[in-house]
Amino acid sequence: MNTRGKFSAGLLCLGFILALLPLSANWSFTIKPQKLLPKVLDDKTYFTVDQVARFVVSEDTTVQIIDLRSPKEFRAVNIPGSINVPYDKLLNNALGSILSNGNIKNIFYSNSDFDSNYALVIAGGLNYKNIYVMKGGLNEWFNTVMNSSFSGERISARENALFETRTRARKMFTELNSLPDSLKLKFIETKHIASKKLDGGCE
Amino acid sequence: MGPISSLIQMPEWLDLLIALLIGIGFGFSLEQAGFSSSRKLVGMFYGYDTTVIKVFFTASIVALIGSQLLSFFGLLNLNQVFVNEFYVNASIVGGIIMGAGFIMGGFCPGTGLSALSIGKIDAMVFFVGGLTGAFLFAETYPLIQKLANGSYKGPIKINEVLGISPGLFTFLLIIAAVIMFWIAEAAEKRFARPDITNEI
Amino acid sequence: MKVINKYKVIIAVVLPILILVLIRSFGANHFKSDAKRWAEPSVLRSNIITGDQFGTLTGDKLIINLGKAVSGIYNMNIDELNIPADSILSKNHLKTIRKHDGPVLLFSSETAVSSRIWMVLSQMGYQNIFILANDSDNEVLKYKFQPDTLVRPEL
Repeated sequence: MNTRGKFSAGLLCLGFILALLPLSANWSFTIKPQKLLPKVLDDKTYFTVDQVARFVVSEDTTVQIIDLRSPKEFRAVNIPGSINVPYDKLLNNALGSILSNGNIKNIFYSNSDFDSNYALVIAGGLNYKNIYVMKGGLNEWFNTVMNSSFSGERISARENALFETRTRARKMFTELNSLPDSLKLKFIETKHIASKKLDGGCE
Repeated sequence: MGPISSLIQMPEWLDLLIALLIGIGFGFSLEQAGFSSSRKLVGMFYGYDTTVIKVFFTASIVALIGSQLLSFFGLLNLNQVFVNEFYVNASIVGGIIMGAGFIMGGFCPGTGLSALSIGKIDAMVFFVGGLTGAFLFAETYPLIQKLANGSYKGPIKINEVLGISPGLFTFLLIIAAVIMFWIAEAAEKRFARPDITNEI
Repeated sequence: MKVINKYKVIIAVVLPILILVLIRSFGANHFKSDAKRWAEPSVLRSNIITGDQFGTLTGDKLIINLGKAVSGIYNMNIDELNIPADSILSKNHLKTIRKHDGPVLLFSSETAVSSRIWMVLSQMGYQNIFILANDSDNEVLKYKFQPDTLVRPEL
């Protein structure tokens, strides 16, 4: 067989192998499981609700709080300063535009500890850095920040600091979430981040 | 270098150096395939020299197989590879203009550059024409905006439209390419112009 | 022999690729492609099982306790293994999970840990894995927010 024939035969074999592979056009994790596991088991990936309350109260700009619940739940109640990326939308490859800034700490939260931790593993699998989870989710936020109180006659300095932060966070939370829907929507819109498109190409 | 640099962090100068080396490789392979000669290029249209289709089909299939295999082994993230946005009308009109220009001028943008680099005067004139065309497009954009932006389909891929896996599409494309190679061989015999092919 | 010699170039290119592809397809220690598909049960919430939903699972159940020791919580005829989370990806443990014919339930005192391990294992292609959660543990907000209608903050 001449060169053309051999070359074509080789290409056809490779093409045949490719045709049988379960190739998918959809995105997948880019790092190896052995590399992801220690990151996923690292205690430093958790922030307590008190730590998040401190971020909220000080309006810390190095932090981005991401609410993974549905838009309806987000509109009803959300942590001041957070943006809404529903978990199922995140699975449709929405992470790129939100996690693009490598200098910001991204904190996921949901109602409990399921969705937020799934999101952390997904972001970690795509090799994003600076990702965290608010442990306990919104249920823990309500339990600790909104509804807790200190009892007893004396409180320590540390407890006092916690109490102050919680009170201020409680106030901010109540203020934002008490707004009528239209005003709240406007306030949230200002925090909306438009998705980036891949730009490029030439001939 | 988009997809690979997502695996390893590379400094910007290294990115640009790799781009430079790839560009050098591209120009080198165009020149050694003889694509600086406009007579070889238009041979594709007249049928006496079908090198163009063989080279370009081979290049795209090798790239396709390579990228699919790399993606399978997790070394390349295909979602980060740029896909051209598809405007139906603009593509058709632009294709006609480009095809007519190619046959008349004897060059396309890439091969025109490689001919330019070896000093061909007709390539220089062709290039001035190309730049003029781009300038005219920009200046008349408000008038042709509707045509340019009509029928937007987004950055779609053929395998998505057909609903088949990328691997199967690759295989079908390879079959089409192999058929084309054979037709090209037959055409060269049929439309042979030994007076031209012996010179280029 | 003559045939191989004739086509040695093709074989030299295609065969190594074929071998690598086969190794990769049947190897178990990497993430599968199409992450969204493997994460599907988490969207449908079908991967969370509470104590009283035990009966809905068919087949031999295996509980994997990701903590420090066997909990002995669920003692009725159900196998419980203690595999600390940081060693879950060792060859032997993965083999145990793969060979088990029936649902595998991940348990940890912290839901966060079992959720994370669930996602890691699912993305590696393991199916029939569930998270064993407390009855009250789910993605539902348990608190009602009382809006303060008198408040008008500065915008």
